[in-house]
Amino acid sequence: MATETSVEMTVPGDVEHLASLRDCVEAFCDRLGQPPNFTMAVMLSADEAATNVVMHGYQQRPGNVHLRVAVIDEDLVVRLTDTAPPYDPTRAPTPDINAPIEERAIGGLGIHLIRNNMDVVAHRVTEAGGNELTLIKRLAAPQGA
Amino acid sequence: MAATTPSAVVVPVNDNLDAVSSPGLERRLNGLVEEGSTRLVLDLTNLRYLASAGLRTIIAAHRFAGMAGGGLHLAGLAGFAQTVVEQSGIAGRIPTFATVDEATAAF
Repeated sequence: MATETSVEMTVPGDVEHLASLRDCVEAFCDRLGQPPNFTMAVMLSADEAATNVVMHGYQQRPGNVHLRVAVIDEDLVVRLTDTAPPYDPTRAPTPDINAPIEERAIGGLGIHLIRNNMDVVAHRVTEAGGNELTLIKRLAAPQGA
Repeated sequence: MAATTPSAVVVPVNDNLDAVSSPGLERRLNGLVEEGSTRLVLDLTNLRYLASAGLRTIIAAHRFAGMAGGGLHLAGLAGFAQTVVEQSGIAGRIPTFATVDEATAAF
């Protein structure tokens, strides 16, 4: 069994710090012995979610992004919290990826990729009036196998 | 550095194409098109990580180069970057090739 079942970090809400969040997710998944495709899928999803917080939530206002990654039973659970104005990305319209590229709106791909790569995406408004986004993906292999 | 062949400009994109690096690539590709290099090949052989910001840059450059009478071809996609391109739905619409030579020759 892995001895470490969670990790967390807080970074300032600007794009320069997104790589630190990715590195944190990657290192945690690697320590769990997850395959590269699993790790990259979770990294991408956490990155897209955090990018949305920074670009559309804070919009250059100061604020932090808190990341927690944990193993709960057979699931990897990523939780991002912020103090940006409430916004539920799970209610964003799914982009029509089958539309001709010339007609497709640029943007909206982030939440599409998150939905594609994670099993569960859930949003709630925190007691402080910010956002908590939970991303869950079933682990690719049993713990300690 | 971009390598110029008779028919296309090859732009290598290495390591990460994310919210930090995408704006710089977009400026560079737009600059090339404005200077008259409208046939672009993105060499993604050494691209390890691709996020939606990078996809938006690729889509925008494809449109911009296309409107200028050229186009954008992708070369060398592999691994997770290839998976992201496939998930995005652009795989069948932006011409994609295994190698830079093939992507260049296809113009």
